[in-house]
Amino acid sequence: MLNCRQASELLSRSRDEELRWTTRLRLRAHVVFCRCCSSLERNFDTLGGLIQDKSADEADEQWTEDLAEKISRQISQQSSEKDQSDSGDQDEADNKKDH
Amino acid sequence: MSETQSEPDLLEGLRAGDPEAFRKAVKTYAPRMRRTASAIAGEDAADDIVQECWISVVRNIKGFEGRSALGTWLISIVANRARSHLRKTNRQDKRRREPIREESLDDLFDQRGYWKTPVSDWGSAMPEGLLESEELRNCFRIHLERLPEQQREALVLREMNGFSYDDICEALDVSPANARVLLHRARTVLFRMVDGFRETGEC
Repeated sequence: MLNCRQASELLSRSRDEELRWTTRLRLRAHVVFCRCCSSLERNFDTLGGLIQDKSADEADEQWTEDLAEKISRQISQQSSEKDQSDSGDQDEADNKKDH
Repeated sequence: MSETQSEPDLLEGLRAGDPEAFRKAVKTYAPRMRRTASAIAGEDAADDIVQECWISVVRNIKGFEGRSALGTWLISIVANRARSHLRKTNRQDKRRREPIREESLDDLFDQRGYWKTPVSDWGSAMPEGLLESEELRNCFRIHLERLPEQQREALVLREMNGFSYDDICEALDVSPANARVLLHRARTVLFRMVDGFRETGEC
């Protein structure tokens, strides 16, 4: 039988990965009888919502429009320039992040 | 992570240097990039970081091989730049962003591994509207900023951007076991913070 500490770790993991069915079964068996861990599972959902903070999206709209316009204009200006060699160190680092 | 249906078409347009494709890509991805930059490096720096990223993307899009989803690549770039920015500013101002006290899980559980104090379901135990209140959101942002760097990044990449363990491990250069611990610790700290706010109304 899992204790609450183990269950809380598995509740966190279950948000990020598919647990093995035996592990899922043990976790469910704990959560169904443990009011605290049952609450924690729902509270983790709430935390996820707070991190995503969708309320910020509305404020982003005008800024996104302006940035899109700026980048689009820059592309238009650069369309005749084919020389891509002048990218800095950070650009090279960014390229390495292409996984 | 969920991406737009037309990502291959969008990518083709970006590689061809089509201004309209860039406009569409910015509209699709920039809000999430901004939130990511803000969560890692702070709100004040987020706009500049995202703008710099797009300038870099304009230059480097032809080198993007498509081994990851476009959104994952963009978020990785923004997280990388936000991290660099944060380290630079932290070096300049040591007083900024004093890290939160690393809470031991032993504080929460007794020797047998059971909760020391009962956990309330926020959905039913919180005063109405508190979860949506600006005070709580501000307090939450402050605590998110004060998490240890890797915990914060892991949580932002996972919960805000839907990164897989593999993507998190690659972005943070940690093992899957480490990623699990980072995410669990980060969630536990923020859980305690919201719980404290619920009880006292203070940040």
